Amino acid sequence: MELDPSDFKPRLRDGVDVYLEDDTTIVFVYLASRKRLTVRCHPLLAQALALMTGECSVAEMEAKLGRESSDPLPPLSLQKFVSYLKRRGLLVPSDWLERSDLPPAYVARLTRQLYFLLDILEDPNVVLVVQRQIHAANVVVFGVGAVGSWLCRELVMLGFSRFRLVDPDSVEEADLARHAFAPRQFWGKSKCEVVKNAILQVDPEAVVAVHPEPLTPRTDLRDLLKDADIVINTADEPYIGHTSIALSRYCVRNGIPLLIAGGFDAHLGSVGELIVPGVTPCADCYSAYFDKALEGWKPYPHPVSDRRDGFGGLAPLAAFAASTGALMVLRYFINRGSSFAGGRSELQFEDYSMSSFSVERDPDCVTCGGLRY
Amino acid sequence: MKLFLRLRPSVSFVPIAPERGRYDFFLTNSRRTVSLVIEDERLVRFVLGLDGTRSYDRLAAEFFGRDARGLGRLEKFVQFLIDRCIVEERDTALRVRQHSFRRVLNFLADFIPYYELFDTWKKITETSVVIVGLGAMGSWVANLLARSGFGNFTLIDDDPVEYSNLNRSLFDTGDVGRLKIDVVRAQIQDILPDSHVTLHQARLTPELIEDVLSRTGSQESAVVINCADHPSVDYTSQVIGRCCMEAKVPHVIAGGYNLHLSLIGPTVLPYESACVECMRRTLDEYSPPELHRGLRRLDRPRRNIGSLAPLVAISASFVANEVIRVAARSPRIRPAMTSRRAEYNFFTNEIHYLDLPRRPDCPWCSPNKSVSPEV
Repeated sequence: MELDPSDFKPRLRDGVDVYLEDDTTIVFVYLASRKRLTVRCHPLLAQALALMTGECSVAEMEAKLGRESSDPLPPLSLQKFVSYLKRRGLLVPSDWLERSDLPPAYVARLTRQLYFLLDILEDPNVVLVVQRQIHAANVVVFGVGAVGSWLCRELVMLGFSRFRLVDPDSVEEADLARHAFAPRQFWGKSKCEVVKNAILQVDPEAVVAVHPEPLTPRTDLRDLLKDADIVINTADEPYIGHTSIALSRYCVRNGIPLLIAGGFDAHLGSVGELIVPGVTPCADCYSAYFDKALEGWKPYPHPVSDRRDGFGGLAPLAAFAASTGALMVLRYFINRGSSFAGGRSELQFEDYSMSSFSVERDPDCVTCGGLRY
Repeated sequence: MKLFLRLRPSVSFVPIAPERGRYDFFLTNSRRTVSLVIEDERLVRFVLGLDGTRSYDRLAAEFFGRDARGLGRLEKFVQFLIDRCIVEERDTALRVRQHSFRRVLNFLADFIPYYELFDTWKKITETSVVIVGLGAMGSWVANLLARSGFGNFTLIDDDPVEYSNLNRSLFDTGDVGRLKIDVVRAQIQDILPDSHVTLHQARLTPELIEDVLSRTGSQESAVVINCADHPSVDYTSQVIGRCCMEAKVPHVIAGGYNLHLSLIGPTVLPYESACVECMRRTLDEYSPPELHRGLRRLDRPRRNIGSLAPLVAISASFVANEVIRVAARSPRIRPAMTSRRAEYNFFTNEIHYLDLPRRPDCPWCSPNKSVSPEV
């Protein structure tokens, strides 16, 4: 978006508060980051702010301001002022959403999110690049149970539109309590199909491939992950620790980020962890860390032999885990993982405190030890 | 005692330093640890025998024979394990196993001993949940509560679903144009066909809330959730707060989106925790930022404030947790957002809490009679 004075109709960004201290001192407050910027300027420029609603071009503003003033603006000063405000992320073109090449229905559905991203990123061009990458990204999800189903629901709401779902299970009655899509009419149906259908109800243009099969050591990951831009593992069978290591080894070697979220009842309150190859610890690093941390913590064999139906969790906790995971994915697409650190946190239901600890990369890790990006 | 007990399948029994008698029980569902010292090794073997197939008497005889002092100690120990939700009774466990909502019941059983479990469940499912506003927050809260077993809802909203709601509300493309109350009722009844859902196609007014509360039967079993932000959350909170104080009905202020922070709202238990007015007074006292003093704020009509599905869902998940805790009406699982509110930070995944205590000068809820009540 080039700044063309003739058709640029500047609009003060909605996520900024503007205060006038006196005729010549303006304080801008960036609401999302709580940054402040104080600007001293010609009183007519301060007055011009009230005209920056996206309806007037710079020339029109100049004409309006000049009319009754005894102290006219020096030539080009309004244009310079507008350029400055734009550079500081305070102005956007009034029609910035219409300028995108994303499908109009998609933009209409995501308008409120695009405004959120504008608050965070401040530059409409960057916002549209991020959203375009989200729109085009291939997401592969292993496990679409409690956490996986809510994650898919939130990811399609965030504008992701290309999914590959892997899960061998069918929806059963007890899923009522946690799954995003488990009403009676779906019992007995493949979870993959049910989630695919739900994704299409939000975004009829979405492209969803389904693989109703388990992840096993014989699964050909090259085939499933060939175009993957991000991989999500919520599969609890076989044990999520094992599937995560298998996926992490493949993803780390191929530079694909991997989100591990939820997994089974007991982990519903967990904040998902994102493995960014070469930046964060990988699943092998985590495993080595836990082997050490949990040394000596070994429960007795449980007296009850069949414990399968004895675990529990709440829908709100599944939604919490899914939401924190979805936020991680969004943050990854915003800044490509540079701000991610290793560690885990978990919401304690008792008092809603977060118990967190950090994990460093293992320099001798067989999988990611040598990687530097 | 012909009681068949078992160690709950979700509880791990962990020797920490057995030579010093140190053991942990780890309740995996709620991630809580009960640490204790067990000096009598026979008690450890007793716990490891709690597979649900042998009666208390048989196990007691096996490990303690006729040792009267040992048996006395065992009885106290087992009572402790029951009260702390470490062991459960076989028939209750079987009933849970066969239940559609076994996952919720198993979770609640981390807090509620087996002998109270189904009483608590009945209270939860029968609680009358009044949701004011079915925007982003309301649609999420209703869906999460239906999945938690609630079967009695009153929904208040007057808007149809719009296409631009779909980025954050739990509606589908096919719902656009339909009334939100109709869509959410269908969602609830998809989960629970027998649930009872009353609809009001209306905006919030004090008269409407008074009317709804007078119909919910025993006020003891109602909870009101404020998910309405029109014309402002402050206004809707004041209206709902006043009506609910008068009727002594617990209420949850659902919070919402506040730039990159997701506001997690407080729970009000009338005359027990801080009320809406107590909190307003405390928030007003936080010195207004020096920035705002003497400054003229530029008027900005027609602003678009952004929002995001996961941030709404996080706030809604706290609301739903709170409503479950209010509805359980048990000292064992009290609401945890009373007299405080919180913010979830998008950038750091951290939660920050702000305490907003009950105030002696509150005209709504102070026991101090010299304060003139306005309610």
